[in-house]
Amino acid sequence: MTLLRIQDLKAYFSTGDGIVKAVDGVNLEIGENETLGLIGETGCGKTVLGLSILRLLSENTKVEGKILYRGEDLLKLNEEEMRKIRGKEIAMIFQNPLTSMNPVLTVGTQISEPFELHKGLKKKDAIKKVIEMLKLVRIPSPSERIKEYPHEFSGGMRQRAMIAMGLACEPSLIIADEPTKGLDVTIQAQVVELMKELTTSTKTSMLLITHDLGVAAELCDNIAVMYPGEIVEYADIKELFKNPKHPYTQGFLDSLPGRGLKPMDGMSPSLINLPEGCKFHPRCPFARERCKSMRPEMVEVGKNHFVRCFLYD
Amino acid sequence: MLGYIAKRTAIAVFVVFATSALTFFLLSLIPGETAVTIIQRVFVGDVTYNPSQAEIEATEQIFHLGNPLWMQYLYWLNNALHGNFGTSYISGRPVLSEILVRLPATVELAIAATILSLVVAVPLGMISAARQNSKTDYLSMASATFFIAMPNFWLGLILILLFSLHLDLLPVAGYGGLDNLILPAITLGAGMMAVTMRLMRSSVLEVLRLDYITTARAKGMDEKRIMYRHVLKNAMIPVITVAGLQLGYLLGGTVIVETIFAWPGIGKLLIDSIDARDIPIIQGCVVFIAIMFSLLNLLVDLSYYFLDPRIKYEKV
Amino acid sequence: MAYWFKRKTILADKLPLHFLKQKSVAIGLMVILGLAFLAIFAPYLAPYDPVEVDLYNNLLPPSWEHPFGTDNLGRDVLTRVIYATKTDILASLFIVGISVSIGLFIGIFAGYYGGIIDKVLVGMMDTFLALPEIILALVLVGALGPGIFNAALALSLFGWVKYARVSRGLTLSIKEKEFIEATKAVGFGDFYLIARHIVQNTVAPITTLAALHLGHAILSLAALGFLGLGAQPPMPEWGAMLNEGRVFLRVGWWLSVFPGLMIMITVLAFNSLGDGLRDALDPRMKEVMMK
Repeated sequence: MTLLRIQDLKAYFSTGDGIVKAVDGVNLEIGENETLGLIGETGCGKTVLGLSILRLLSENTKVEGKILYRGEDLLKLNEEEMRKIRGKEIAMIFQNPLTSMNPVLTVGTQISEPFELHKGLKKKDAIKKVIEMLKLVRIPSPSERIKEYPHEFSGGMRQRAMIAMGLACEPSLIIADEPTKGLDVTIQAQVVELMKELTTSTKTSMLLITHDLGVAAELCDNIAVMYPGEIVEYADIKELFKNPKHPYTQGFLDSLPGRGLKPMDGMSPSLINLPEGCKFHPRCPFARERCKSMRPEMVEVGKNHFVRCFLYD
Repeated sequence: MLGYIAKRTAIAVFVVFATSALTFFLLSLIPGETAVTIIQRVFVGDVTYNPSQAEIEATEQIFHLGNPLWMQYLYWLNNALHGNFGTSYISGRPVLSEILVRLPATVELAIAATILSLVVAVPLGMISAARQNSKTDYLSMASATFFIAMPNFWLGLILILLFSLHLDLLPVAGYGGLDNLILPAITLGAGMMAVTMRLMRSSVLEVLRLDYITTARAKGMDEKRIMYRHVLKNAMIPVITVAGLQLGYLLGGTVIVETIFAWPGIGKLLIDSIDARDIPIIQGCVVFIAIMFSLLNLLVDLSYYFLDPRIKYEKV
Repeated sequence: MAYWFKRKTILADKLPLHFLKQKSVAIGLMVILGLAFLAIFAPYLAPYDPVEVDLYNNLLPPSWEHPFGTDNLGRDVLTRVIYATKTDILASLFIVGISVSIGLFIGIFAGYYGGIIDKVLVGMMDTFLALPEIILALVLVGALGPGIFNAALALSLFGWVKYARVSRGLTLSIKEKEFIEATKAVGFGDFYLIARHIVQNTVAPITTLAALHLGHAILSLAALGFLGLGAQPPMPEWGAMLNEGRVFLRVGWWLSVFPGLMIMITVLAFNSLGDGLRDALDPRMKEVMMK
């Protein structure tokens, strides 16, 4: 059953330099007990996509489209209804846990907040739950740790605390924005393993936003590749690695250490000055006339495999 | 933590000493023969009295006036550390007692002004930030701008004009009950209130942009709770830091406010003694003001330490 | 002269036009120009003589002949207020000018030589900050004797610290850079070189500080005048006028209202200029996209 369906989502910002089309017509689906990876380079709009699901974008953004959670359009809810969703039905974990946590409040206080907000628990009772959560994410000596402040935790522990915060009220969907960014490789591996274990045991769906394909490979069932503002390829994880169809995906994979470290030509376009037609055409080795003026649609190229490219259309 | 306090205290003490030396030096510039002045005003009480050479020499001996300036300062310092700040040229009473008698009045005024300004500024600053660009915001920021530009002595006069003379609600001047405290406290606190309000607003706005506020919202927290739980403490940090400077202006302002309202505090004492060239009192007042200022700054430093847990990790 | 012109063009490079378009800044600038006009052309603009006593017409309330009324000696208040514009503005320009000069020099000196000299100068700066400026100025004026020159001098002797901090900070960071070694090798007097470099690069923050300092200087000067330690009678100065009018609060409210109003308007103008400068010269924050 589809837990979350995003239909033709657009998120535009007006800035002093022009209109930024961070999300420009995105369609995605996440089912129960499924982890979807959203892969892309920095600046392609994937974080904005994540934030827009929970409607955490600032007021000068225009958001259009539909975000159907269990059939209900989140974009049509008012603030109060939305708050019941945030942290309870859908939770978000952010990158850079040092700045994402309040430096003047104890970790215990911050993790107990979801319990106080959504389960109506008093601080005393919530703390017991917090200790349970800390045990769950394998933070040692939890009863002492809850009195500490974020800067007293190590990087890996902080990220785990963020995960605890996210999972507190047993949401159906977790949006994880670059949860391993900035961590040491060994710590990364631990966090990834923890996340895998937790999502499997709690049967929580996850939208994993990352630029690290290695991490995605471990955790995801399906992958959506994002290129400024839109999804250019969608496939099952194994299929994507075996049969990447979109030239960008191919280039992306080729640039990985395991595959030859071949860099791609050119740079990702800025979200303000997007090229005409297919956004990738300036860098595409297979670009044809059509690509310069017309925008390709998503087409099915295999079982559960979609591409947005004129090579297949 | 002890190291932190110790270092700050040491700096404060050094600064008080330096200030006393500076003042001593400045006061030595006052023209007039000190020995003659002392004889005339302290010993005899008659400014027309013509002392004899012997009397002058004897006086110079007692007060070490023949010595170089820095030595005279050391004598003064030594006395001061033993509680002897000299004798007033005007009243003949010990400087220390003249000051201590008036200290409570100034402290009372200063505390009242500070409380008043904080009670108004902090909430208004927060509300202005929460309702950015609303009418409330524009109004409070506009009035803050006005009060910052307004000379406090003018404000005092206007308040007297309005509330005492025109409306006859409050007494014009004097020391006594709550009635007498209101106008001086407002006059003294208005400037600090305006600055604090503006700072609070910009501080809150900055905090609202930070990552952890998004995290709080992602947990489903409503704006009001976010404001009180997450924003307030963080936003206060720069405000408290600036508070130290503000308290300096406040202390300076007591000189003016006490003069306008005939408030019997140290500020008024300082002015009166400057008019009268009462050097020992001037020196004593300035030193006390320096001590008060340093103490206040120390308190501010300490509160900062309690507000922000990250401080404990900073190498002092 | 050429030096000042050069300074201004460097400032102009950094100011986006946006700054001048801001309403409050524009109004502030206009007010300042208006005040400057008043100050320069005071003798031609003022309707009466500022010091001539006319006891038959004393303490007259505002009217068409005397828009601001007359004071206890029969002098027209509007005239005195206009002349006081010159006094106050000139004096504060003096204060800020001296403060900036002293501050720049001491800061560069301290940063350049470092070591003991630096420590002593910084200690001095901290001491000057340890007391409210007005108290120190009070004591100095008390020692030297009241008068507008002494008041201005006292305020400039204690107002330089913030400029010194700016110049010292930049000097310290520059000292590290290699080009100093290079120029030393070539033989230029590097103190002069550094000084010139510092001055050129601190124009922005110093101008901002100076604009705000001007307003502050007027307030302090008027405060000293109010306490009887600034300008002495019969010299017209806003603070001194308030002091003289204070006794007559009951019978002549206009004596206490108008001079203070002028102070406030002037300070508002300088403050809006300073605030505008500060906002314009701050690194522009990128539009918040991801929030």
